[in-house]
Amino acid sequence: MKNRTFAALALVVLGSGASLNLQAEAQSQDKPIVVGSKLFIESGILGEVVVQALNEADIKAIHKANFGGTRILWNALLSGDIDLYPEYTGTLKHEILRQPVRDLEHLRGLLKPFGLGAAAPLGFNNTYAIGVTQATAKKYDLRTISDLGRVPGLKYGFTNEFMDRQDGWPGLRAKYDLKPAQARGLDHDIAYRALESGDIDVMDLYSTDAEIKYYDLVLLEDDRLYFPRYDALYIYRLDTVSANELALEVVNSLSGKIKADAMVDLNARVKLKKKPASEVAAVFLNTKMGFEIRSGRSSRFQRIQKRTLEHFRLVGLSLALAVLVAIPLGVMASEVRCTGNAVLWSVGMVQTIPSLALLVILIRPLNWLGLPGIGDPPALVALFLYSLLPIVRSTYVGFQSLSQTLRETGQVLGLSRWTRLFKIDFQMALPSILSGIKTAAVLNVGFATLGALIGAGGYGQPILTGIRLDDYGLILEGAIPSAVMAILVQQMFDVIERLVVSKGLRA
Amino acid sequence: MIRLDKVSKSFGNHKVLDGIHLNVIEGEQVALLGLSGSGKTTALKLICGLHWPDSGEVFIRGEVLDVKNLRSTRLKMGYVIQSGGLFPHLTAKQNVTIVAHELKWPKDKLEDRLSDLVRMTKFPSSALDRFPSEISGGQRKRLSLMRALFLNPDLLLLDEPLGALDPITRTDLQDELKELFSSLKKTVVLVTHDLFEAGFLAGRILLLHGGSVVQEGSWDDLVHRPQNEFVKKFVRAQRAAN
Repeated sequence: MKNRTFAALALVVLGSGASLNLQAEAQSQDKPIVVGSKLFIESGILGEVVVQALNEADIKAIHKANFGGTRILWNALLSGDIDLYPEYTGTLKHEILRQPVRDLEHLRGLLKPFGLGAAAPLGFNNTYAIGVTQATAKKYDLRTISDLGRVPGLKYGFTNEFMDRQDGWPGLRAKYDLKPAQARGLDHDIAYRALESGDIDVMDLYSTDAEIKYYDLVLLEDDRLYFPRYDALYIYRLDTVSANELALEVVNSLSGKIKADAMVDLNARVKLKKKPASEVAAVFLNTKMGFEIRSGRSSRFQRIQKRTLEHFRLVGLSLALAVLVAIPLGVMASEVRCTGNAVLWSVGMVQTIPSLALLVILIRPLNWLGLPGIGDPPALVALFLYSLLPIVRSTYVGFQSLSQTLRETGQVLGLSRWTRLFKIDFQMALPSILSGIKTAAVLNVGFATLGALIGAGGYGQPILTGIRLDDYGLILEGAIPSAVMAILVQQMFDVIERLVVSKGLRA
Repeated sequence: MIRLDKVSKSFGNHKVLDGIHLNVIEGEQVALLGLSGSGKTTALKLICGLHWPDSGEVFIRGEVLDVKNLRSTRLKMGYVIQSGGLFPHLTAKQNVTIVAHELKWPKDKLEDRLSDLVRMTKFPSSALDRFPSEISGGQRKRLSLMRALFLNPDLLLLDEPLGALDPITRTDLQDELKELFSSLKKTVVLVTHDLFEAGFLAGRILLLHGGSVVQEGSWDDLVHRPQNEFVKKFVRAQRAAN
């Protein structure tokens, strides 16, 4: 019985370990340029554009999309987990470098100490803009933001972020001396509908939003130069991208090639026409740059297959590691009296860290250990940590609820400590321990979808893209397999339970 | 064989044993009799090292029981714990042979011993592959006894070995136990709350009350020559119960 338990565990560990090794080997043989992008459409398209342009020049490049935020990408670039990503001058200035940047040369000088470089801007400025409908513009003869000052009775609707940011509404209102009838915060997508229905007259937008074209909006000119410039450009590592002359040439060749209206159009194709970013990028490169890229979109089945493997590896490997660590911890908490509370308290604390925060917190310690701060390692560590509590607790409870009489019987029979632990206590606690492992496994299937935020792939990938694109089909492409996997995992553990738990305990 | 020398034991503020003496010679069957809470089970647990005395000493075969000789001493005693102590996840056979397995007995020796015991305790060999939850109460008692006897120890400690049985099974098993005791010539310490069972199975009875021995002697002594009011009351109560 014991042997079967260990055989089952060993299988899970070996299986997941082997698949990870294979992947690591494949990567070390020919290291591609890794392009990252953020969790919004435009960033994803720009990532896809440069990857395809590089591939066209026979340079191996891969795209890791949907990173959860600027900091994560920036740190990944610094640590070498990625080699290049599209960024905006305003973000570099205000959020990353936090100092004024005069021009491109100045920016390059500031990035150099980090081992980074920047290509010339792509040709569009994706900054905040103030928009109204054609009808409103005509009615009040609005061309500039200053013109709004003449019309005091209008209703303004802004994103909550814009309402709060110093460089958003408070500064705008002071700079242009605006006196609206009302200004309230609301969701960006709802704002478009509110503008169309006339519930609001003025909204904030990004100057390359896909909807500008769809709703045929008028962008008012920032005549007092209030909004900072957010010129899109690629920033990259000097040691990998600059060192590769051809790669640098390809990246530079894109500078100045994407104007604002082209970017609005690309965004619209992805967001409103639901085309995949890879296809939109290919069409752009073919028509504007004379490339001949066949956009090969893998079949839905192939995609699900690939993600299933990624997802299962995340869940299986993290769970196997957690089982190996959590069971001894749970036994210790129960049997070594003074450690009990400390152990339960620590694993409980880990559980209270929000998942996204945990993923970000892990980047630096993993880098110190020489591991990549993005991709599989942080996802595995986070899932491992989240698995500890249910397994430690169930092991602890299983041992605590063992009958005192039976424990004494084991002692009086003269059985050794190890026999009592493995053949008696552990076997009798096994139903409880297994229920904890099962809980951890099912929860992990869900948690693992967050791995996509840091480039670990899995079912989270289509879910994130689907949320971004408001595409239910894509969301379901991740959500349904994830739910199916959760159910299968649950049933797998029911079978395991039948195999390893003594019939005497189930009767 | 066993000597308890002025042994006291408290749990928290509650004194369970108060300087008791006990001397059991080889081949003798002694019963510790008393109400629940009288300290009789505690005394038995002191003999097998599940509890350690606060003061006084426990001698087994002339040696003070301590951590060093605990395991070797235990392997030479058979213990039937209150309520049986059968491991629910092991089959009847696995329960009985677990210690022999750990001691790496050869298979034929183990099987021989098992079939001897099956005959001796009248345990149905068809039930050897069943789990404790799948056999009757009487069979579970036989199983506990088989396990205690497996290594052929010269000392048997029995804590209410026939508790929670129907009266007919109980008297049958009492007969069988008596037969076993006389044929195997083991030293036996029996804990029971039943005066008649004590008198039937043991030559000498120690009646415990409030952590002390209130009377020591034969069944006849206790019933016909009670030394104080408590003994009188105890005997009368037992008559009423039976």
